[in-house]
Amino acid sequence: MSLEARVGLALGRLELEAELAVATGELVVLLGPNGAGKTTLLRALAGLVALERGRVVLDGAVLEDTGDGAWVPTERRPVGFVFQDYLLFPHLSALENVAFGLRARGLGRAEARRRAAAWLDRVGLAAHAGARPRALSGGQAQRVALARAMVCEPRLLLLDEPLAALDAATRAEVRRDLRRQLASFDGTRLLVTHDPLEAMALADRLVVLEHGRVTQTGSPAEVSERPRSGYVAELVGVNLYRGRADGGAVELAGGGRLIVTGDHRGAVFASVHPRAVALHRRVPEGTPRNVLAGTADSVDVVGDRVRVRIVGQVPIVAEVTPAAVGELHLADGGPVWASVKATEVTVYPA
Amino acid sequence: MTRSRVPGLLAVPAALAVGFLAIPLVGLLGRTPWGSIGAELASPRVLEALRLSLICSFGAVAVSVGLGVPLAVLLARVEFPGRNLVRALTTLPMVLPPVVGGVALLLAFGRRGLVGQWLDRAFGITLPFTTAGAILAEAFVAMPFLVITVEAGLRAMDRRFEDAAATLGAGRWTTLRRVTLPLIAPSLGAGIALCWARALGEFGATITFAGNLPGVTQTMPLAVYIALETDLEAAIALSLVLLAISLAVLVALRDRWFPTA
Repeated sequence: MSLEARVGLALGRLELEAELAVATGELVVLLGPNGAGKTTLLRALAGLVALERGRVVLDGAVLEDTGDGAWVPTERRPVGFVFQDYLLFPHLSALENVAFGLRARGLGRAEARRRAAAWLDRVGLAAHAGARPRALSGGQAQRVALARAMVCEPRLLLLDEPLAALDAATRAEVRRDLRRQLASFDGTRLLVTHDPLEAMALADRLVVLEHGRVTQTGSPAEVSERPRSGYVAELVGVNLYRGRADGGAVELAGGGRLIVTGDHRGAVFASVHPRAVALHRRVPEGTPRNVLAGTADSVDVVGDRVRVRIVGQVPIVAEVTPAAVGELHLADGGPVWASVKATEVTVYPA
Repeated sequence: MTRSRVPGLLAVPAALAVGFLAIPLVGLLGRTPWGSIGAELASPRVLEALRLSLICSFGAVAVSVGLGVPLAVLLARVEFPGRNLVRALTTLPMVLPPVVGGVALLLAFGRRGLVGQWLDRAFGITLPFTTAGAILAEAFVAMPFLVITVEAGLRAMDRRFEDAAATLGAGRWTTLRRVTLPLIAPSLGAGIALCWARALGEFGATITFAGNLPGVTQTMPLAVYIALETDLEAAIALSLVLLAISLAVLVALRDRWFPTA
């Protein structure tokens, strides 16, 4: 592992208590809702916020350890930081912005400008070397910020919501670009976002941070298949329940039970994809299946499907066709029964 | 046009206020001997006062920048016990009657003053009634304008630019020099302009501490005051120069003080 960090600190209402390990060459995406402490965690790794407890070790070198008071100041950490709104120095040209770090580290003016120019060329901005940041578009500013952070060849690259400041139209293009640039970087990469699409598109591994705690970590596929918190379940769009399994059934924490397949014991999560939920206006009959009674609460169109939120003892979201919404008059609300086959319930240990 | 919600009755005192502030300027311009003003301005005593005023005011600005900018940085960036007290003390000269400042300077830097006697004994330096004394008096009155303007600029600045500089390997000194100061350049410029204008017009502290010696401490405001009794036309010409400078400062700072919405 090339970055190992244990970060404990309190800042305002945030209590951050997170452990993080990132391998060399790995791109870890830190995903979480606003206010979860993602930015603070990055700032702590860069030494911009002091730890109250914990340690930060990069490639075997201790950057900070509250145990023995070890502390490397920000300017001497081999860390590159791309800030959310880029923070390009407004009084310097794009070239001077990129050359800044090299100059600060003692490189001569000519050599610094030569290397900075090479990096601007690499991110496709050679023609804008003389431009002030305010004359650059959002996507161009993002690339200058990336070049500025990478030109110093850091061992750890931290990116805080690198695409958040962009409009939707340029975001896709810049994301593709960023992906390519990040792929060419051989150090450790840690990127923060609250956008699940961005996270899934870029991550080798996801770390989910909520309320200052790591709630889940794994590959994008693992996380979306087996969410471990309401936040993640919401992001990937599945129904998630906690409960206790006893063989072929799960007693849900919120009341009610689900019949499942397989043999599970103890505290578990049970997840149901909305597309596996069928809706009825009368109590359905037939094969052994879960039938949940409730009331149609809200109806949202998502692409060519309609998401129907059912409230009841076991709240559940179903994804059905627009035709079904019309036939069943789901937009009018009223009592409905949701059925889920036992084979469609995914159960995994909590 | 939107209907204003201001009582019409206010228009009368408001008009009086404009008249009260503007009429003296009109009076000054009306009495200006435009035919002979060139000759007046070229007269040796006017040139002497002008030269001295420039030396003293720029000297005061230099002292204020050299000492005031570091003070502003400390006040804005470092939390230390008694910071508010220090801030209050250093801005006191802004509200203190300048003549009181002059008396205080005399008691501190006079030949028998707190610091003055030591300066005299150790280095043979006497400040009262010297050009250096005039610079000191002007700096005493003018420096606070620079300090509070620069401190306000530092507080308003997005400090994350300094964080960005640190992540790029810049130490505190490099960050201050290459990021912080350039970013607050507008505040620094405004502070210098204010400080300079205040130093240029300084009268009370200068005449009390440095006296009124032509060619040594008699700056333009002092020359105006003396000329008023002997040579009205010279007084008007000197006043006009000071007015022109004030207007120039006002114009230079207009975007800062009167932002157009």
